[in-house]
Amino acid sequence: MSETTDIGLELGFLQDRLTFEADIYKTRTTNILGRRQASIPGYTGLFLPDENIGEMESQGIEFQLGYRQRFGDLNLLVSGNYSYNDNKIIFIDEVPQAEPYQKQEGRPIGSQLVYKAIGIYRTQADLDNHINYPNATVGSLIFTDLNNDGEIDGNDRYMFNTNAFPKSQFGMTIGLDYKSFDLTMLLQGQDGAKFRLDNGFDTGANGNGLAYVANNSFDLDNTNAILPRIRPTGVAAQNNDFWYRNATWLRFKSVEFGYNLPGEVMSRMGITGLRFYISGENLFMIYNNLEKYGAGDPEFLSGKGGTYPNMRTLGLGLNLTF
Amino acid sequence: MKNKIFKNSIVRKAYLLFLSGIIFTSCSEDLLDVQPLDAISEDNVFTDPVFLQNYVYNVYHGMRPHWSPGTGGYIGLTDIAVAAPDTHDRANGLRQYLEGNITPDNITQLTNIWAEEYDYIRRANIFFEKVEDSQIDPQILNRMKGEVHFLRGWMYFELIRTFGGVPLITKSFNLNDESFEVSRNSYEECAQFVLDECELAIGLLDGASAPAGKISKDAAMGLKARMLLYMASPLNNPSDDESKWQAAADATKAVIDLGYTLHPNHEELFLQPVKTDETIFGRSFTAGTSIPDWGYNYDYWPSGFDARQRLMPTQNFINMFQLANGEYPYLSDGITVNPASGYNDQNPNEDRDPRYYSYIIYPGAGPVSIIDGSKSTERLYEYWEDANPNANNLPPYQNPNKVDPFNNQELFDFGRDSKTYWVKGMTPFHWRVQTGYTFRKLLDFGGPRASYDYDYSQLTVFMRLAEFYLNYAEIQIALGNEELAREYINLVRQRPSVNMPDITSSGADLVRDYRNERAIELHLEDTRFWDLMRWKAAPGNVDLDPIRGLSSVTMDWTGVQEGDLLGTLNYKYGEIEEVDPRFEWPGDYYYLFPIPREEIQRSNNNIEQNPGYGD
Repeated sequence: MSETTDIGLELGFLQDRLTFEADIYKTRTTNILGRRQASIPGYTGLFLPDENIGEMESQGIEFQLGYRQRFGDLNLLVSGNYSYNDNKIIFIDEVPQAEPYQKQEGRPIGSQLVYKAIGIYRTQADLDNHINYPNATVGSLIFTDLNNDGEIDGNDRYMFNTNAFPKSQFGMTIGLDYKSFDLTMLLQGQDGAKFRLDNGFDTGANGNGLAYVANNSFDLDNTNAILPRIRPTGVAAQNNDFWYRNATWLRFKSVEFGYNLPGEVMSRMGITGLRFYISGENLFMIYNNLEKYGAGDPEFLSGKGGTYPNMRTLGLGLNLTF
Repeated sequence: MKNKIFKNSIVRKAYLLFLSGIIFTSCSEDLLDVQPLDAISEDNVFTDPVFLQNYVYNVYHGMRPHWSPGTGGYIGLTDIAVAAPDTHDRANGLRQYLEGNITPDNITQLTNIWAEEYDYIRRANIFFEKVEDSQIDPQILNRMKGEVHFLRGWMYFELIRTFGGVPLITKSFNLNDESFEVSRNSYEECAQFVLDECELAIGLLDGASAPAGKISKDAAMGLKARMLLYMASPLNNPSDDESKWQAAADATKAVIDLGYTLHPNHEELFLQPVKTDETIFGRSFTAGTSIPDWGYNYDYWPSGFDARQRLMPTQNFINMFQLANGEYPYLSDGITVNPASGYNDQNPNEDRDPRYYSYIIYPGAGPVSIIDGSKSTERLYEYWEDANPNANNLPPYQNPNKVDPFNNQELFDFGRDSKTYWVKGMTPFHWRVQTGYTFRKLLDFGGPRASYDYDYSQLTVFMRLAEFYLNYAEIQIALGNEELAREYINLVRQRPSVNMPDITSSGADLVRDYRNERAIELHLEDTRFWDLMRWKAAPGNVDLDPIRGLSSVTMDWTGVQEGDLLGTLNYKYGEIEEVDPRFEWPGDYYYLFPIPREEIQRSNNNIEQNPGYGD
């Protein structure tokens, strides 16, 4: 069940050549199907069906701005859009956590308990100067003792947003036509999705890893490395915020350039329309803050970049109308 | 024409359905008050003896097969086997364990037995609540009660050897309960509960017939004897209280006196049907009874057979197999050849304990027949590289055999189970950690390497006489009766198909002989890891380092005639460097696993964590 409050605004100026739209919404969703499971111990043997017990709230804002203008034979159309949305969990049946910062309630969907990493143990001195988890070794990540109890254990994990869906999305369309030529371009981007860098190197069927990881991981010859050692175990191997990166990118999504044969030529040839065009999709990234990791298309986030990217397509076309 | 008839019949059916709809809608109001037809109602389950029996059979699933958790159980945590890293489905948990890094937060990567067994304990508890005022014929009902008492005892037995004392839960919880808070009972309380459950089962199952695969009075006596052995073992008996050993001795002797005999051929023990002369309790996992992940088959076939090979014996295990003359091939360092044995490390497969040939696939072992579609064949285990390779192992090859006559696979100087075979892309399965050996016990080469439909012939033996002979020997060693101990060890060695010379050792040598005998006889039966725990014998075994095996095997084809399957093999023994490192045993606390952190939080911290794991 969900209740939405939405306030919208539409404005037009200069005989609607300049348009502006804005939307602000807030949705409260209740009765979300979820498991009343987390708080019930496994030793009860109770394995329960899903119930309508979840509750969440999401809110967002959307803008759109458009502008049209004619300069002699040149027609110009520009429009941009931007949306931002955020959510938080109001109720979920969760494990009674030891510390307040571990609660899922009040945090966005997709949050997880992770350790807070504050660096890498580079020397024995680093090991001596920090509160360490059991079997901490040089090359591993340093975690914070969040509850200040003098030891690092599961209670030092905090609820951290790891959601792989973007918080904001934006785009821009530019259209131009001049006499028989026309050009359309679309830019598309997003921000706020979490990418988790994967430093795994398996010998198995999921083998391989990122070159970035191979070149930048800690080893005894590379103690100033950006990344910790590979394949730790125990607490050092537990999930932590070190690996998450905000994914921000803008791509040149598509372009099409066309030419319409002038009317008098066509009537002589006995046809009503003839158009030549070239088009391209996913031509290049204008900005990609994850580029250095070499993990592939940031639209399909994957720790080792093993997913199929958007395909780059080039088209050459001819439309003939009789 | 056909089409038309078909259409007509559909139309006719639809018409009938329509008519029947009219008729039924005019029925009385009872219509809304029907029993479900596609499911069995709860009332029926607990009042109908047939349904109830099926409910009980469902509780049997609480008994894990030996290859659980994951595939391979805990044997990869011992000195006798290594698990392939990464590819094993519990690889993370195994590695964290061996590096001394198991914590309350990652224990479920190794085993989820806490939740699994409590799930089945609840089912058992519900059974007892529902049948309290049952009208079912007591003779039928008592049998089932006996089975469930046994099963509940079994599950607690498994839980307490994993965690020590756990909360004893004998009533089912309800969602509306005000509190789920419980605390742990002591190990002694839990162990006593297991014994009580066994006594109840023994009483209730007395005189009842038990078909193979079903729980019997004998099985309950076996569980009781096993529980008493665990209670007397060093881990749980720090003061070495002799009365505990005596109680174990009495219960074990009672099992031995039940009249079981060793099956004459050890190779047949794990193939259907259950060999009831020796097997006290065993069951089959077949396509019909959901064999989990094909059991040992797919996971332990050699990788050159396009299987995953996730578990391999170590040289340690190989060295436990004596020569037929009763001498060990190596001295206790595992490296120096025992001069009294007559063993030749370049001819290591000659004159060994007959069980060696049944349980180990070594380079040149076989021929093994493999049924796997177009790859079906009958061939040796070809774990060898070329002794005289050309650059990049390119042709020409000296091997006079060019083609496998069964499946037309091309043959080379390097074997089909060699690393080179994989490097050249001829098997899709990655070369993993290899020791040069493969387990053979519990494999079924008669079937395809992986099929959900094929009814594999392996079965799981939960209890058999040989174990109780060995348990009895162990107890007698502890009680100081070495003569009696040797007698029972020798009974196992005298099985007709084994027929090894009697052991005559005493003192520390007897303990070593006993433990080796037990490792060989009961490997892959979920015993080695738990034995090392209860003996407190992890140092040097669980943290065995380095892991040794065949570090190199080469084949020299010089002078070999066509049709000969083997040239001259050359063996090198050494450290297997690809094995995940094992760190020093962290200390006594590690003999018990940590309880998952979430369970402690959900109990509002009423459950105490095991010492050594923080909190």
